[in-house]
Amino acid sequence: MSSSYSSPSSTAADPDDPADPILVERCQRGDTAAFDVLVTRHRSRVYGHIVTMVHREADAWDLAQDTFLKAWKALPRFEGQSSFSTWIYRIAHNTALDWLRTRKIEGSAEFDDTVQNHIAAGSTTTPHGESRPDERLAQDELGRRIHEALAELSPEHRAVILLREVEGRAYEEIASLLGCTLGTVMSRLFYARKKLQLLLADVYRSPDWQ
Amino acid sequence: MKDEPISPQDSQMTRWIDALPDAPLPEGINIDEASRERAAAAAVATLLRQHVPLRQDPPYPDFFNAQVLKKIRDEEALLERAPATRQAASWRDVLGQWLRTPWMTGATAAACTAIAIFAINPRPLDEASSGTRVLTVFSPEPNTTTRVMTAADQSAVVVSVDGLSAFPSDRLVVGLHTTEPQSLVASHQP
Repeated sequence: MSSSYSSPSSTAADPDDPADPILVERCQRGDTAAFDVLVTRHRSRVYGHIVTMVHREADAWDLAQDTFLKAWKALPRFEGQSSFSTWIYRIAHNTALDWLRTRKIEGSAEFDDTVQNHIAAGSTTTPHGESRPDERLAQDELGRRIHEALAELSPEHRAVILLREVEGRAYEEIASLLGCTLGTVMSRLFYARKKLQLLLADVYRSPDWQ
Repeated sequence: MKDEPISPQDSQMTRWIDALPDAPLPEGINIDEASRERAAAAAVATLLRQHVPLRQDPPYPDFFNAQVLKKIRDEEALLERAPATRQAASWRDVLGQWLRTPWMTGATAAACTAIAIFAINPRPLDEASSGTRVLTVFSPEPNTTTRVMTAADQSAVVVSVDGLSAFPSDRLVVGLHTTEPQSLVASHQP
């Protein structure tokens, strides 16, 4: 299965839309305007990943801010061995994971049901148009179920399943992003799929769903 | 997190579900059963793709950018406001790195190395200023050359001793600062 993921980074030699490596070089010379462009280019992916991981928009906003601040501080040491896109994604993922682990240690309700109520379930990817209120309600309900099921997974399993099924990343990319082995990726994918199939069986087996 | 182990068969099954080219159906698995498994995985994947956004702009995206840049400016202003602390730290860092370099290990003293630097107006190194002057450097090793570098504007005095014989890398090098009797003594401890 080929990767359906496409990086938001620009590669065109357009001076008005410089590629990431050029912007990175400028940032390394202290150019915050260049960093502003990088933030604009990557914020939706960074925020999107974090909000799916932590399930709280306000916290996701702060964590996405932290991600970019960490990136700015670490940029002098960034040597471009991976793309900026991969690098920032890794920082975002680790920032979210650290936050989730801290919350778990503190005994907070990581998978608290009330947490999921903050999510505008399904609203972003539900096909737009003038859907009937009852259809919209059903979509919202479905979205809520899916987010609840995802919240049942450990952050590590959640990350792997999202990278694979939503972003369409190859195993090797996932391993590189998460800093783990291919075997670990397959193990997490295997168990995450099993659990989601169990939790969502009534949804995808329902004759109403297609 | 401790990951659960996965059997070779389950691993191969995972690859088969993803239709990877080098992943034939594992032996002993019924094709109907495997196909059901693959269909279930595909259904869940479709649900996820329909309801989980790949990208999502943060609320108030312009404000988001502005806040990131503000935090960067705040951090940099904070660093600029504390130049003395930063320089003292960097001076300690540089000295620490210098003492840990292999050439230093190879060149520094074995037998007895005690370097006494007599200074006037001594203050803790963190607070060293242009008022600190090194008057005399003494080393009991006869074949050493010593250089004293004073960076008044950076509040630092570095004493470089070359020509000492090698000692093991696990030997601790210590710098002692004393106010009485107004001297700084550096030595290495076996």
